[in-house]
Amino acid sequence: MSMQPRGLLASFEYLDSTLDAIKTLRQERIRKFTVYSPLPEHHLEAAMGYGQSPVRVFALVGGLTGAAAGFAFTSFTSMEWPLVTGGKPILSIPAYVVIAFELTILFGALATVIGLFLLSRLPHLGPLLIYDPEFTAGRFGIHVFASPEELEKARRILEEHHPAEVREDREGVGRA
Amino acid sequence: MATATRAKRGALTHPDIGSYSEVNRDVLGILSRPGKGWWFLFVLAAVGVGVFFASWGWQIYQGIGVTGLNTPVGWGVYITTFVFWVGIAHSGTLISAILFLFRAPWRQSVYRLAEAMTVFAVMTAGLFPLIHVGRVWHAYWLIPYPNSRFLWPNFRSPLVWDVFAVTTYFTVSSVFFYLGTIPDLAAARDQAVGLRRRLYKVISLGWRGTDREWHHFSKAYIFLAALATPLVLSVHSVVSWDFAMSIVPGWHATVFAPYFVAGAIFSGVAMVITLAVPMRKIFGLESYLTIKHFDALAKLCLLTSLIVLYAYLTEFFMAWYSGEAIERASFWNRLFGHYWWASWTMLICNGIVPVLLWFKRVRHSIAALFVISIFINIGMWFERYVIIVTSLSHEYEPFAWGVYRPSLTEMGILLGSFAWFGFWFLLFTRLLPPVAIAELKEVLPLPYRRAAGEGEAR
Amino acid sequence: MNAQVYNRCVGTRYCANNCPYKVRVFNWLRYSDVPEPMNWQYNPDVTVRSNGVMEKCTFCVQRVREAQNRAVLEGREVEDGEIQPACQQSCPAQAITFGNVRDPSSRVARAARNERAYRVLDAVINTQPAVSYLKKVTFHEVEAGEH
Repeated sequence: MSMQPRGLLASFEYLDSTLDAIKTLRQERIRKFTVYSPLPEHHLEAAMGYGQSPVRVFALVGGLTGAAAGFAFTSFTSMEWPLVTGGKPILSIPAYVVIAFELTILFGALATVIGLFLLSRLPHLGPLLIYDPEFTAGRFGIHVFASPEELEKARRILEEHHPAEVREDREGVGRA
Repeated sequence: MATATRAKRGALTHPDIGSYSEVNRDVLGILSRPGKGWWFLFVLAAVGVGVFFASWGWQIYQGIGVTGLNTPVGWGVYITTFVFWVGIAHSGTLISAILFLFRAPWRQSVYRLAEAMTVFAVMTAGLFPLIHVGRVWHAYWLIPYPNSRFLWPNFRSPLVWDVFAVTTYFTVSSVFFYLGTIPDLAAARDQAVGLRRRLYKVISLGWRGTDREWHHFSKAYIFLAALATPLVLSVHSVVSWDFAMSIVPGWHATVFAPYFVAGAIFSGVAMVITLAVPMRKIFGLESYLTIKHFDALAKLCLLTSLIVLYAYLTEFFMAWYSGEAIERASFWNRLFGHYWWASWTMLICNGIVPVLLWFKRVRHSIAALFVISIFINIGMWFERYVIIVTSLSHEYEPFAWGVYRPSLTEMGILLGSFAWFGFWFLLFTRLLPPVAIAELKEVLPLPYRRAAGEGEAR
Repeated sequence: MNAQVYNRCVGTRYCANNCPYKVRVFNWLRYSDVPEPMNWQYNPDVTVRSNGVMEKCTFCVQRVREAQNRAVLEGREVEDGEIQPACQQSCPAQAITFGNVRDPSSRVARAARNERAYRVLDAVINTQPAVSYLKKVTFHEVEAGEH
């Protein structure tokens, strides 16, 4: 149980204050912070310097796997027990396109979800210690983790940008 | 009373909503008010579900003979209802996925209940292949699995395509629905207490709305929407190919895929209206489901009704133009044969009644839209009945013409399916936020301090 | 010969929808569920179909197979007229002929080549059925304009 705060949680009512705070923090080389938001906002993402999400790779790989699996499975099983139905060839590709298409979508969607969970580290199982329930309602938040000297700088920066509230985060503090 | 002037893209929609927190308050407030009305409907639905399973159990015990089916009409109310429910499911995905990609500004309030409708409609539809099959205890043979006889299902059969299409659709739309709800479940968790809070804590997966979470979530959502989009077009096409790939006169037509997809969206949007109107009234969502939203839904209804009407006319025209005696006879029988009342119900409900939607006064009248949507639902059920039953009752051989009359068991299962759907939908209105909170905030004006000025009360 | 594999049938009735002749019949109820000793009337060579299974005429395939097997054992071909389906056997008017229609010398092939022979729906949807019917020949006065 340390006496020094490990981090600072600031909540903001306004988006522009949050954006300015983020920019200033990054300018001052303080980069270890989490931003909370009640909605997905591309300005926030841009301010945090995010590039492309790798989720698209999961979607692509999943989709291709599905397509391949669809064709492979149907073709393999037809060759294993060749039965002519409706006068169609044993490897009736147009019919198998339907199956392959559905599996493309299915595997692509499931892979995307797996990718999302892996990349955003969901499910987040621990208790919500450093958190403000207003973050899913109307407030934005910045939670800075830094060394004590940097935290002082961070506190100054945060307070410059009209936060609704600034809280210290000691271990175990915060609403669960 | 917007707090700032920087409005988001095309936001026409919610002049009466003040702030983000107001959205949370309004929408989450619905969840803890189950009044007597809800309980009454829920008990009714539960009784209906009991009737549903009792009828089905009786049918499994006795055999399909308890229905009115007989040679030549081997498919009747069950397949009609199957196609009906699958069709309804499609428009939910259209509103939530396709309109997302098109950035339609009015979808945000509607899409959550539309998606819920989709998931529950697919759940209902998925029961019917099991119900209509002669030996349901062997129905798993339609799923490919390795076995000692090296037997596989016939992948060239449209029925097996159905298995894949409906399974994929159910899985993807459930996943899409659940994923999109996660941020709202977190919002619910943050306002809830007690047992509810624990439930939401678990199902919201600990979502906090961090930058990392939102970043990947937004992209994943776009990809899921992009993947769900072709399902809207393909799943009902696959279902329509159950008919189009046969040789039955009246079924064997190339127009079936676009015809059914348009019909699906048509009936689904009508069902969304049927569900949204009472929800709006009961839950006080007038600021969220505004006249503009219903206007947009009505226009979608009108468009798809025109496509469906065109498909009807095409079918009749081509039957005549082909000069083929059997095809002509089949369509003549539709209009003037034993089931003439079903065909005319279909034509009037789907072709004539939606003409009213051309008029702005009608589109802006919630009561009128509700009534019209009921007509459309009835008309679309009868469309499938007409296609299936009249075509089968009047095929090639006059010796093999026959009449079908649904039995009590079938009506029990038909009405029970509505009860089953209603059961799940009522649970949804009680447990999950019926309006998408996080996405709705995207079309509200952004909270900018500079524009708002000092001392802005929230 | 178009047959039904009873033990694989799930009972979707799609095959019956697609049959233009509607010769496929479905077991809607447990017809075979009869009390003793009625079950002893069932032919031991024919599968008893259960509830929910589709069936159709198999041209008495059990008799066909028996004759074919006996011919193989005896090292000969199956003779024309050796196989009689039950319907042909029991018909008092001898209205039914069965045999190998690909053997030009068989009775059934000669009957199928007859100018009175027609095949139902063959001209409409090219089903090439194995069953041919012989038109009834009648006499009537030809009036002006009739043929």
